[in-house]
Amino acid sequence: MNTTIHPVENTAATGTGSARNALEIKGLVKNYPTFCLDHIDLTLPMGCVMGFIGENGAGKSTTILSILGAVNRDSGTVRILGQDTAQGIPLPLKEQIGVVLDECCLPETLNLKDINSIMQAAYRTWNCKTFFRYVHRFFLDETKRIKDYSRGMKMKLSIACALSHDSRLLILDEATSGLDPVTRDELLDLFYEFIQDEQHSIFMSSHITSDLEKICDYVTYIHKGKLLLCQEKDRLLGRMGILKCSEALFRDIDPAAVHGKRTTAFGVEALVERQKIPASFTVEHASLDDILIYLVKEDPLHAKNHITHF
Amino acid sequence: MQKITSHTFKERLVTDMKALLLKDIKVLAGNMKLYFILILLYILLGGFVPDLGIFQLYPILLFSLFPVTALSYDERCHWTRFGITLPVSRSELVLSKYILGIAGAVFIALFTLAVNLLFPILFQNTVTDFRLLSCYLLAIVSSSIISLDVILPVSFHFGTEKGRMIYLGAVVLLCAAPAIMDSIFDSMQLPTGAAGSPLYSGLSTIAAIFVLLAVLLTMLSINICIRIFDRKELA
Repeated sequence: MNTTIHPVENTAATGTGSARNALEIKGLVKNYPTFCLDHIDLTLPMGCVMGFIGENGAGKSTTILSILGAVNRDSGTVRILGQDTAQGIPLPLKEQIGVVLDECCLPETLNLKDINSIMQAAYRTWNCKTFFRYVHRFFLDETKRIKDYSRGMKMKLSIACALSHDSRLLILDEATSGLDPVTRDELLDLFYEFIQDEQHSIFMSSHITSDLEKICDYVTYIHKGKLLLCQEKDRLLGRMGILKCSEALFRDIDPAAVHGKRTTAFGVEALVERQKIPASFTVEHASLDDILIYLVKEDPLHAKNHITHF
Repeated sequence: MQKITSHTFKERLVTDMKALLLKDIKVLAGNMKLYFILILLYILLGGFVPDLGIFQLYPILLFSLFPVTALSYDERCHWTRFGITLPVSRSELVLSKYILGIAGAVFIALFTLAVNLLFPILFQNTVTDFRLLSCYLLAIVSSSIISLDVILPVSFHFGTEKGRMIYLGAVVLLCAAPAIMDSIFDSMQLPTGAAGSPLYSGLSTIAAIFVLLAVLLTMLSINICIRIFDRKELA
């Protein structure tokens, strides 16, 4: 296994103009007895979509809840739309943030009209017409109570709420998990429409990497509370590939090019940087799924405790 | 894009609180329709009973404790985790529960007052002593609010299940209010409603003491509750 550690390469824009970035996190730390969010640094430029990827229990939700102020961070800074949130997110700024959590947290005995009236009272920029336009687009029954909705319908309702006020930043915590492919595709279309405005940005966590491949501009990998990489998606996918060869041939590969390896009965499969691999080798396309698996899954025959950074 | 200006105090009081109260009222109304009907019947029945007692106590107690019920519904759907993403502060989330309880208790007390004044006139050809009744209701409302002041910080900190255990102790406290007043009346051996008697004029003082206690304890309780909730992890 490759033991070379490279610095974390964050290729997202880090301009000093705070208006350029929708979200800036520096040195975020949150300690729990059995888990630690360890110095998370990431930047989401304005007008972009960032996929926040990690396996279950990696720290995705903890990071998002830290951003939102639902959990108190131990150290680090979070700036949202250029504003520091050390003292909590200012109330006017909350008008510009749309949040969709991994479950629908709206009271189940309410119906759509109730939700509309509550949100209208909460948000000064709430737009009833927009809300019901989404309701009709999603074919949500206005007479039913939320408890009678399916999981997909509840998620659509949450997204409708997030989009019906003047949101500039959407924060989605596994919003598409547990949904069927058709519904997920519908929601991705919606996010794509949202992002057409250059002032709109999306920060979405998911372990469904196929969704993120379709829409994200940047990807950030987190594993056991540590950031593995934060990079432009297209650049990452263009740079990385899967090499399959025998053990003997693999010994000729530059260790610096290898970022994850598995030994199988047929030989070696490794996540490699294409440019560092000789042309005689065939390097296959690596998906975000493959990159995640190779980064976090250790070869049981050569298991060592290390993390490979880019 | 609409320009967002800072939320003024008035906006926060009216708009932000309105959203939270509206949510709680809709949730309670949706879940407890039968409860409301029973409370209404209880109050109306109390209008036919000549003595002041449980018919006046029970509805006010229930209404003042609805915030705990609302909080339990919040816990069930994890509303609080989503609620703080709305343009409301954590202290407003706390304050809305107190307002719900106090407003509920006051509203039902006023309704109970009206029923207990009108019904004797309409159906029994008697007149209720307004001063006695109003002092009694003031003491009950104040005791209900004191119960709320005890239960809410515990519920916010430990959850509503454990908060309900404290509720049992608070009920004892609440029931003590009329019992204290009764024992004072008995010890003075004076008719409780006798106009002109020293105790009769003392009723207002007793009621005022209950109100003052309720105000002071509410301020303390709100302060404690906000501090608890500010530190609470909503994961």
